[in-house]
Amino acid sequence: MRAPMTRPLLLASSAFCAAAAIGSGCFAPQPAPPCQVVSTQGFNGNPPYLALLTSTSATGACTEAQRLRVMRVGAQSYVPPGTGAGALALRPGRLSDLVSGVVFKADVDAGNNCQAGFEGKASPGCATCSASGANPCRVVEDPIVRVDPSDPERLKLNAVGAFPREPTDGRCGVSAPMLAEQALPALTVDVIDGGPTTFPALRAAFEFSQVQVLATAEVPGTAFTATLTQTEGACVASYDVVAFYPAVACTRDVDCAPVADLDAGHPKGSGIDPAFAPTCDTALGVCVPGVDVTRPGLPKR
Amino acid sequence: MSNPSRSRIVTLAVALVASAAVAQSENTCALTGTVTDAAGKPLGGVVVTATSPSLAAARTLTTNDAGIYRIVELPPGTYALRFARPTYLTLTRADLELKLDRTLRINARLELAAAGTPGEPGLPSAGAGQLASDAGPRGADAGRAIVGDAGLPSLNGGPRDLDAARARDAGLLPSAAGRAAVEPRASADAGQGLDDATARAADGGQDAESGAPVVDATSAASGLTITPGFIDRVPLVRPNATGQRSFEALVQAAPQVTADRYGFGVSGGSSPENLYVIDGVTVNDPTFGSLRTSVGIGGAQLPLEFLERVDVITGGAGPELGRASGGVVNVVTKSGSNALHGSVWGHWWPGALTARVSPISDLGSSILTTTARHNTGDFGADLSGAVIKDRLWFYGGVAQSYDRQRVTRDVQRFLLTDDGSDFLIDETTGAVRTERLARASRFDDRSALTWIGKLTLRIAEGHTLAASMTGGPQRGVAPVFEPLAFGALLTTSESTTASLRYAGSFFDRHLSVSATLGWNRTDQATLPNDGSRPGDTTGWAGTPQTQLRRAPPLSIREFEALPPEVADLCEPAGFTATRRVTSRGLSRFVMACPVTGAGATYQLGGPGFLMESQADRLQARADATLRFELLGHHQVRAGADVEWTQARLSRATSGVVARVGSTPGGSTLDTADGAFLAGPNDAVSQLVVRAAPSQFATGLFVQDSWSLLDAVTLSAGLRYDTQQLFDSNGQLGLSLNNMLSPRVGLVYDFTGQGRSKVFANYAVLQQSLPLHLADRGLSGNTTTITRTGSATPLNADPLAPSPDVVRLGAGRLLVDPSLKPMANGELTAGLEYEVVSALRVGLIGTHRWLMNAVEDLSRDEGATAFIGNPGSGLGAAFPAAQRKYFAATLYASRAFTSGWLAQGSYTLSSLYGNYAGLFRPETGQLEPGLGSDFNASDLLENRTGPLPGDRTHQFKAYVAKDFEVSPDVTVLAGVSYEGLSGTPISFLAWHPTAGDDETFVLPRGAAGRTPWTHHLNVRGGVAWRVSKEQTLQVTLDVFNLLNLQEATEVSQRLSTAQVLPATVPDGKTASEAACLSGNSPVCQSVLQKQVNGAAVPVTTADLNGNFKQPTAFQAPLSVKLGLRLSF
Repeated sequence: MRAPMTRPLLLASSAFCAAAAIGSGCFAPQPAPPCQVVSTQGFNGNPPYLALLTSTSATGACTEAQRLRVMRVGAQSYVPPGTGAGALALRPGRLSDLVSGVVFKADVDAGNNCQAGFEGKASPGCATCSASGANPCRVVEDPIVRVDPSDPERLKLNAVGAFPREPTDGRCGVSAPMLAEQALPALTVDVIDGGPTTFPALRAAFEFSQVQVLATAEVPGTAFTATLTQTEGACVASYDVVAFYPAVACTRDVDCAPVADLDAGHPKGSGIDPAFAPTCDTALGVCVPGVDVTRPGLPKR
Repeated sequence: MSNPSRSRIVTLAVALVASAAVAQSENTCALTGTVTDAAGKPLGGVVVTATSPSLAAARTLTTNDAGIYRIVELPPGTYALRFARPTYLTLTRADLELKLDRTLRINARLELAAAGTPGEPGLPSAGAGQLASDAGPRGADAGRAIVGDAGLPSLNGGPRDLDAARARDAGLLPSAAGRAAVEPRASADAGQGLDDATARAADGGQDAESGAPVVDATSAASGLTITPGFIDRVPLVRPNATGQRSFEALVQAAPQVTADRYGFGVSGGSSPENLYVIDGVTVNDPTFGSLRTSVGIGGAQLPLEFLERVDVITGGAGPELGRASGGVVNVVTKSGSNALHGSVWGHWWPGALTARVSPISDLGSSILTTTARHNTGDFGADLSGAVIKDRLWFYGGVAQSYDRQRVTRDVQRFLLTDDGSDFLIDETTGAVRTERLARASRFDDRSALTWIGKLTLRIAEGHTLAASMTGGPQRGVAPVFEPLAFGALLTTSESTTASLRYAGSFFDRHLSVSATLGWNRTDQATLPNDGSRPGDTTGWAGTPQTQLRRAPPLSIREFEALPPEVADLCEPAGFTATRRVTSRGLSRFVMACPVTGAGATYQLGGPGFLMESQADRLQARADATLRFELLGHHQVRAGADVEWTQARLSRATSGVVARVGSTPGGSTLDTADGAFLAGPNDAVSQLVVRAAPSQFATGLFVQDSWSLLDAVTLSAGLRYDTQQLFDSNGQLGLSLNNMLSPRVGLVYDFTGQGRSKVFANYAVLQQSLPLHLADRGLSGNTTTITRTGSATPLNADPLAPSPDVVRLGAGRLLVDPSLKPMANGELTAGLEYEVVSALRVGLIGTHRWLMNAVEDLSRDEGATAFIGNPGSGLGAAFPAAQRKYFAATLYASRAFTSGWLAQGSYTLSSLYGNYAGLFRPETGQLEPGLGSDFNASDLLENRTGPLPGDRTHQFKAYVAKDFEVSPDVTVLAGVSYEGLSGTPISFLAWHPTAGDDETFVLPRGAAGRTPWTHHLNVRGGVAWRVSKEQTLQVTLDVFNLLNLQEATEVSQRLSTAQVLPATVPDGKTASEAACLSGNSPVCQSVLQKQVNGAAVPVTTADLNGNFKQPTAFQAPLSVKLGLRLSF
């Protein structure tokens, strides 16, 4: 790491430049990029990161849904004015899904009527809506929002850790593990045409360790690496994480193209750095990088 | 003397030669040459005497055995040289105009005196002495001789003679035989000085025989030099925002110069790319780089009366000039002399003699604000003389200006049809008919006091020290229409400049040295005018500004009480219009008294943005010039300079946040400048944001100017610069290293007499970056947006760690490690010829191209950003910034002789590309290095085309003549004309990350052009010599005599929706593609807008009703009355 250059030192060096022979030249390198991540905020269209997960271990009974291959991760860094320590927040998408009704669903819409079968007629939530198929009642699953009573503000959805202001060797490391967790009590809901259904209590925790945010000219905070331990009840799994900005849904490669292309019907760039050479993984339905995002421009390791 | 020509020559000689002292602070000029006898043998012992109104006392020396003389440390001015040696005819050479930092080489050949054959003035006849044409490295050379003493009866004349000379220069005396007043320069040089003016023998002569060459046959520089002779005769300068007639407006007279929002762009560049220098000190605004940072008050200014000369260099500048990729405006202020002189003056622009301004109508608002001059004027005085005769001189002046405009705010209603279904249209104008319901008016008052003081000390022969200082406060009080306070601002500004300059010579004057220490301070403040201060939580400083922008429109009765008798003519509060009508393809709601919608907004609350700033710039320069002979004449110059700038800025928003909402009392989005996130959802506001960015720059240059065979001059130079920008914490933020600027020029005088030249010049011009980039881009500034009055999270994304806060600003920007500075390449070539005495015609071709731009770029559509170069380095994925300027200027210039001057030029030019320069003309965004052009890839779609500064045709003509009606009375007449073709108009729309007017919906410039504009100004006046010592001058100017009021700007905002860029389909016009003609289906097949991630057709309802409506007109006819008493 190059220590931050102070003004007196540079003044002296510049004065030297002025006094020195032209031929020798002077070259003060540009300062290193600061530690920062792209702030996930829907308002101005900054989506979350996409974490590519490589399973390293799994214990307990993990369902297929719990075995993660990719996960969206919200991020925000905090650098107050002055010289105080900064902070980093990561918001695991799976944990958010558990509390916001993406994972837990039930048909609780009081207006639903299985016999009449009208709910599914106009609702995109009804996936198989034939009267004789797998969902004969044309049930639409409604999201079941769950709340950790100890965290009504949902602040614990964020894994927060101390974040340096300046990188070391192009990396901004978070030394301590960063934990996001929710302790969800059992929840009973009335399912329309089905009576009460109970969702068991669940402790879910996502702990990021060895977080290293890249801070180089080529990758100015748009990628990070970490290890992740996922706990969902009895399922405990660990992953190696390589995350990049941003998560973009796709059905074809042009959806991932970083640069707008009017002729291809792609009026706005994907937001993915062109150096990441993104393509569409149609199986996952997301854009994935064609290179190692920690070393863009080089082939995947 | 009965010969009128001879008589005039005598007068001329008196004016120019019989001079007392005028001490100049810029004693960096020189006269040199070789004296030979008729056989070409060097003549030693020739007494060479240089005299000038600019010179404190005649300078005399003797040629050495090699016949060489060298007179250095001369101030710029018009000189006469006298060569005398017993037994030889005395030879005199007059009208030698020596420009700043130039050396004129004047060789002379003395003839043996034949008995009884005195030389004939103006006739370089055989038997008379002759001046040999010998174009020196720095100077134009000499022309023909004025021979003998006959023309110089008062060679050592006293102050009274000087008075005559000065009075003539100022155009106050009959038969004014002044110096050249204005000369388009196609001259040369490889620049010898900071201010490198080209040396050209200006013609003060009266006829062909006595005239000196007017072509600077050794310089390839182009531009214009303006002296008081021009200023006093040609009606050109209107008052600025404080009522002052300041130097900046003179720049417009130069060919290849185009006005823009912050000044004048030179050769296709933007005005912040220019370098402005007063008495050797850079006075550009240190934060934003322009001379002034708004259309209002601010920036360095100097009344025309304080000016000795203004050099505008539009091309071919020498390597001593750096850090600017545009033009150079170099101002030299007046100096004192041995004689006591002074003047008092006053100018008045009465409101009663100013035509009405065309109102800027806004179809979206029933509020119509117009501004009309009430009174504008200035008055001042100056005085100069000797503190110690021949040793220490002073010049001082003070000028006060004021500008009072009456701002009228009308509430009007749009007249509707009886059934309320449509607007009533005026059959004649085609506009919607209106009726005034209420009126209020207030004054907008601005003023400026400007002072100057200068002391010039001759330390010893050949060593001069000069100290000058100028400055003065500017102040503006904006009108307040209570209870609204959004415009309630007190604006103050002051630019103070001081310089200390030394010039001296060593080693028998083979080596000249000059050094300058300079200081420039800029103070600016925009404060509430109720006395509250930024950061206060009470008063207007504590009141947030709220902007309401609902469409369908809100009625004015939501906010303002109208007189009872008319209130019911407007819709009541709470009214929501539902009916739209479409005319000319543009749609708007039918409503009598709207105040929002169609692009209009209604503002409530406090004054909004507040700031205080102070910036200091310290400069030091030194250079040395060595002259020697080696296969011709060489003049080698080398120098170094350093510049340190420190700003202290504080910013605040009244009431901490700026609010934008839809309806009164409804939810608002609150933007807090400087607020930051301390943690998830934890926004922390700062009452006042403070920053202290700084920069340090160094420069070195070397140049050789080599003249051989008195016909060819080759100049080659190199400049080296570095710049470091430091952020608000004093940390290095950005470094520009190893900026190399080569300059090469070649001039050939095919007449060999200084009456012609063919020239070419190549230059690279590197641009330094002002402090704003360090403040806003490198210091980690952020802004937050929160919301009031709504429980819905701002951030729809459930993964946003701060659901209720949006943070704007990418924090401290990364700088591309391979960053290259902004640079222009420049190639000029041309031909100039003196067709008859004093009349030059020329043709200059100029090509300037942007080699690099420095901008904030984003490779991920705005998520992260870095400072880089589009098209290379980290910005390689972007198209390169492109700006190409081609121009050909045909000009003719008649120097001021026989009581008249004329200058005219026609420029055919093209300016094309995707990048206008250091500000965004379409939006006014003045953020050098942080413009929006490259903030997202889709912004580049359709962005290439004719740039806003593209004016295909430019005519400029200035003519003045003095009519002598009696020995004591002269009538003055002057005319100026400018004819400019229009500028391109584009179809612009909103962009999600860059904002309004940033998406080019169709190719740039596709919406046509603004109309031609013609400006005709005339001046008439009388100069009356009331006594031998005093002259009274009365003038009357009429500006825009024809009162033409064409639109100079129009709205380019096609839509405030996120309309996507498109191409114009074959077979359709751009107008049809943009829905402005044809029917809706045509429109919908071409344009789409982005709504919630999906592309949907644009309808006429999305279009701005004010599109292509004028937003600015030519200034109307106005009259200036002027009075000046000089002694």
